[in-house]
Amino acid sequence: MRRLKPLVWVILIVFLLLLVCFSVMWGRYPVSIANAVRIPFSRIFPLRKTWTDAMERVVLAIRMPRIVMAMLAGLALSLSGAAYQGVFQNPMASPDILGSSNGAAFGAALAILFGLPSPGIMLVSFLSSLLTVFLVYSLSRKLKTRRTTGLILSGIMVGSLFSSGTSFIKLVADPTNQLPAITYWLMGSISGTDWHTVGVAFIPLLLGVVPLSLLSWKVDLLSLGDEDAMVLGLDVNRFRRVLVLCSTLATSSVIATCGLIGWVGLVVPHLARKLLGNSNRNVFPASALIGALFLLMVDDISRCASSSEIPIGILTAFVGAPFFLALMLKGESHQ
Amino acid sequence: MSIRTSRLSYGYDPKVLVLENVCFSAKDGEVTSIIGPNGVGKTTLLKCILGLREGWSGEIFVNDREVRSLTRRQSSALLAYVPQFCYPTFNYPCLDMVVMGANNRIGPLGNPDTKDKEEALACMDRLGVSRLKDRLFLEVSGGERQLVLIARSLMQRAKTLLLDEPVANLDLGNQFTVLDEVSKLAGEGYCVVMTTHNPEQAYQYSSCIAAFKDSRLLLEGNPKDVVTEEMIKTLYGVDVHLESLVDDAFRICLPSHGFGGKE
Repeated sequence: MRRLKPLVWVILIVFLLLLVCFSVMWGRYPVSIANAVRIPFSRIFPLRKTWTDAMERVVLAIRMPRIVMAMLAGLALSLSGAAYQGVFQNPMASPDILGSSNGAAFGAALAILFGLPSPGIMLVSFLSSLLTVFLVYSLSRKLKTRRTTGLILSGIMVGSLFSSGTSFIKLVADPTNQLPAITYWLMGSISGTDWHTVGVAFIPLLLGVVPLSLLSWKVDLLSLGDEDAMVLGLDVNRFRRVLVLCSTLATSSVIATCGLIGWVGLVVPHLARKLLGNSNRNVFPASALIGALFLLMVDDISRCASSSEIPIGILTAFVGAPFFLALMLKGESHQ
Repeated sequence: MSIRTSRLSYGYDPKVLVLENVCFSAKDGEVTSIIGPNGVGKTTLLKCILGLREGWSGEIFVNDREVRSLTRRQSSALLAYVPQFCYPTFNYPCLDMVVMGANNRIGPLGNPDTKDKEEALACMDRLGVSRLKDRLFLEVSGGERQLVLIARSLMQRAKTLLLDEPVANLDLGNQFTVLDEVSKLAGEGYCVVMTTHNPEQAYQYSSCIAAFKDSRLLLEGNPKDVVTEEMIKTLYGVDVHLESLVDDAFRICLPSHGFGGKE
């Protein structure tokens, strides 16, 4: 297994590059493989023009930002899922279970209701997401059940509280423009992403993702239990706070831009562990890579499978929910 | 003198003290065993020394440094700990477990490098478990796990090792292996402190024994003075007959009220 690891990385990267290329080609307006590669590069190198202006617009202004956003969203959600699982020492932890997605969605819906601009939506959604994670975690520690069960139960509880909050916002929202905007956005979609949207999401996302990827090894220490980690010289409480802040920032910046995209953060880290073992130095980057790959693939399906766009959140739930069930059925044998 | 506590008191509840005015010490190059009945504060003493409990009064010195003034990282370079159990949430290879001991000298954003891996392997080799490097920690036997954890504590490069009932759950063979390794380390200059339920093993392996009863340190000193019939009676409330073997190298506790039905 150890010797196969470099191979796994190579396959993942090659697969991602190929998928990016195909994603540029696929769609209502087909683009040949040669042009799919040449058009983006024509911005850097002077290339002879073998494509039409319309084609260029489709690739550069519509498909590329969407591809970038899908990859960023998948990357951020999966990486924060992996980090949450490490922080809470719980293989079931993820932005969905912890209610952090629902919290972010509530915050974003609230901000849309008050007509805030996109940075405002981002901020409110981050704060509300942070509040949810805090509530879920402190409640789960009070519940007198097993830790995993406690986390899931309080996650369901607080999550549904926030999602009914979101429903209430929908009720009072203006039915002609706000309501459809909120509803469609809640289902999760990357359609209509332009470079401006990518730009707004990019900075908070980076602020969350970069520290996470640098801290990956120390997350392993948390698995030993708090006391052991402290004896090994880790300031456990401060470390946890940093990780939760970063993962929540990454999650909420995705949710605030793309809406509720569930399950990715739970499923992908488990796939990464299956492929590369439990060491977070591998799990974090692999989750990011697989997450980007997975969401790009799902987004391609969402825009190409039928004549009208299927919201991506619906598709990820189709994949994620059965996976979650399988995980539950497999049990907590290792605990 | 490597560990010294003076008038150490600690209680989860201010009225009920788990430790009361404990003046305990342990020297370099020796195994110091802590004995006493269940719930007497043996583990709590270790945890106070390690900085895992707060709100104690009195003083604790490690290598003449007040532990309160130490950061986690500094304390980790002085004190290593081998817990009674360790069940990581995610299962890692034994080598990775040992490498984690290097945390106290790896910066907040750093990662262990090949040198750390080599050092970890050397630590495992020292305890005779380097063959386990690729095996998953939760899949090796209890005794092997204990040795891996001791290797991890060597990886901390701390010269003081605290072990909480290191052999409580091991079979006889593994008990001897672990205790032999532990006393070897003391012979190399480490200050080793361990808690145990077995006065016979404490007698056999340590240079100094501290006996605790009702949150207090009753007596600390030479094993020959501590492991006596009177002290066993005081500590555990049972009448025993102590049998001395091989020029008093071993002392065996025999129940004085009969032979358990085997006449």
